[in-house]
Amino acid sequence: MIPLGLRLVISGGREVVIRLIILAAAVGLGVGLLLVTVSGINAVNAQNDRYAWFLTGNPGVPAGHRGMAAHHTGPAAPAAGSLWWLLRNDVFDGQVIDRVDVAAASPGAPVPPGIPKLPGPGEYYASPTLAKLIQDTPRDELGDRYPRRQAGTIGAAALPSPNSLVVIVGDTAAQLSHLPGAVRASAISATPPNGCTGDSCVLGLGINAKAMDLVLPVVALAMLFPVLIFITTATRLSAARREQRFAAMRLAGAARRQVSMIAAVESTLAAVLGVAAGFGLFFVLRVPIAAIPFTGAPFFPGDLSLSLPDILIVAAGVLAAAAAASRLALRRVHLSPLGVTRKVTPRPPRAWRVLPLLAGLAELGFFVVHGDPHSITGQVQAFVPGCALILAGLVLAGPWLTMTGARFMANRTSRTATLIAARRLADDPRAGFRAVSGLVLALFVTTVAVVTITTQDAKRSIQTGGPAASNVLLAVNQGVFSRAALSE
Amino acid sequence: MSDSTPAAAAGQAVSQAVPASPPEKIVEARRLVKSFGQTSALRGASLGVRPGEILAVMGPSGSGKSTLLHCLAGILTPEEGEVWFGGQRLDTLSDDRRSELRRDRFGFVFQSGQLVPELTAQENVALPLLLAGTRRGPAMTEARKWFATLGLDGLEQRRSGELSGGQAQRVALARGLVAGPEVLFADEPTGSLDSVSSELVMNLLTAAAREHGTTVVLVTHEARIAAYADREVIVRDGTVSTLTGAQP
Repeated sequence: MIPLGLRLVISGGREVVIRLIILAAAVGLGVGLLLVTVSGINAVNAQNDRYAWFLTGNPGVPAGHRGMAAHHTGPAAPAAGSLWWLLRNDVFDGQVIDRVDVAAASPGAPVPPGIPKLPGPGEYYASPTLAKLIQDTPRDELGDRYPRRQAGTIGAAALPSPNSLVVIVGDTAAQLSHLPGAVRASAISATPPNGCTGDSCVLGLGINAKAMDLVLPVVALAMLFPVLIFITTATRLSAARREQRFAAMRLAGAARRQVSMIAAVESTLAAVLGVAAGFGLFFVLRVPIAAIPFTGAPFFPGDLSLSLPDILIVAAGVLAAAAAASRLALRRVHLSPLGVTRKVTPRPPRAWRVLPLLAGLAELGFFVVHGDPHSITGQVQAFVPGCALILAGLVLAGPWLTMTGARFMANRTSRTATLIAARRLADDPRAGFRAVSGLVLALFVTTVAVVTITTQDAKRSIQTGGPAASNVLLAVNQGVFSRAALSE
Repeated sequence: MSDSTPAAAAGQAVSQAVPASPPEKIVEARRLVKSFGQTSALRGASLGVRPGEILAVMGPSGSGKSTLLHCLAGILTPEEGEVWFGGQRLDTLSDDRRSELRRDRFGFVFQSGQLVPELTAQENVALPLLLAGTRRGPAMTEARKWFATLGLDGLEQRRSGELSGGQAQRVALARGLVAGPEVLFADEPTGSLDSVSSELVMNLLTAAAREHGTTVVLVTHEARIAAYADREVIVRDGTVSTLTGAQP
């Protein structure tokens, strides 16, 4: 049956080839989105891991991870292989610069990632972006904040993002140990910010990985939904001809499972092409996607990586889903040797279909009236279910709304063309809505995305306080700094 | 569906072991009832067909003659009554077994839409053999023989869309006969053809059937097409009555 199925696809003529291409494109788009989501979660974690070394000496980091006990400023005896550490941040032209002052407290002091050795007194290492900024800016505006000699640039291993502004300044132990907030550490932290607990944790440092792990799949699902509808619509393309072909084969003696196998060959071929296209799309778009500051800072392209299990799960999952979808689609078709000649008008959709949509609107309406939750987690918990209900509700309610609208139109029109169109729509509103459902959902998702992004931008603008907060040097007590403090 | 007979109660194995259908009838319908929604198509239709016989089933549009043919061929299942083929109960068989019968022991020629548009004429003819597991080479060779017999030489590589109505019906006829069926079911095989093509198709159909000893059940509403048959019955309001020849 497999060769016969392939033969039917290959020699199916323009219609079948177009259908195959559209299906493969839709699957490719879906696979591409899935891969971006999976690699995005990996990238968030990778980016977070590179924030870990900033937490050196922080008491909120578990001792096991830190591998050291931090001694806050005071007359403590120098331990073997330790360094003095002070994390601060600067602001220049509205951009936050992470500044770490270090000084070897004893021989064999640990070295932060991204640099070959600790900078000596009067030396500094700068991230490539900061080095360029210092070079391009008049010295009295920025360069004078740091020592004269740049010992080198900080490597990617220590930079959360390619455009991170980070500087590691060398100092003498005697000088640094007396600065407020300086701590003595015997190891560089390997615990990312989300592993830090307690009040001493650096507010605003790193990414809330848990929230991102929640948000990214939701965003991906919201984007995948229209793609799935697109795939469903594509499978219905030239359905009549396909059903005619299957009916003819049934008449010639093909068993139901033989026809299912032929249909599965067709959809699996489209899925194989789609998976290949999806991986190609992902690798082509990886660099531009990495540049999108989804977490507030762009990723390194290498951060958007996929593990072998990721690749296998996506590829095998999509192929299995395609085969299952083809089987399900055929179960809905009456595979009689007589084809669809005895087709009856489908049962009209019921009014209950509108309930999920109304529930979603009511849920969001509640928060519009009573105000938003204050925390990000609370907002995610409040808005995501509402949006998901509306998304699912639109798909469910669409046919009923289409039927109601079509009946209303049919009962009032005096134009023949409108009457026929309305009656056809009212007879099979599911098919009518299927043609536009992808567009409806894409419009909804885009609207939600635009509203969310513009709201976040507006809130960020208020938090940073705009240009007034620029060019401020913030020294933060006891190793704790806060970007939120910028607005204070 | 009525399953009150002992044979039906005992199931297929018993019905195969002890044929309950009279041996002189290769296909038999007993008191078939079939409806589509509120519309009754068959109301106790009974019919027997003898081996090698060409039987014409006539009747006006909507009388139920096509439904009767579909029930006899195992395409439709009656709500009541029994269908017997070669001594075995057909209407209680599984879908897979009925598919096997359609593939190996029945042939079909319908009015239109029976060819797979993606396949060439020769592949269409070979389809029942391919579905039965015959290798492509022998299946295509067997199919090729029918092109000369039915005057289709040179059309082997054409698709159904590139064939005239008469040519497509002859290809369908070749497909219906290629597996050497015991019964050929023809539902208005000339319904979409002009009179010249109709005559050609009917001459070929009856000649091939007689040559191979194939039983033919031919549904038509045209008397001149029914005239090719050995016997005619008429279906009216879902029941069968004898027009010419022996009892139904």
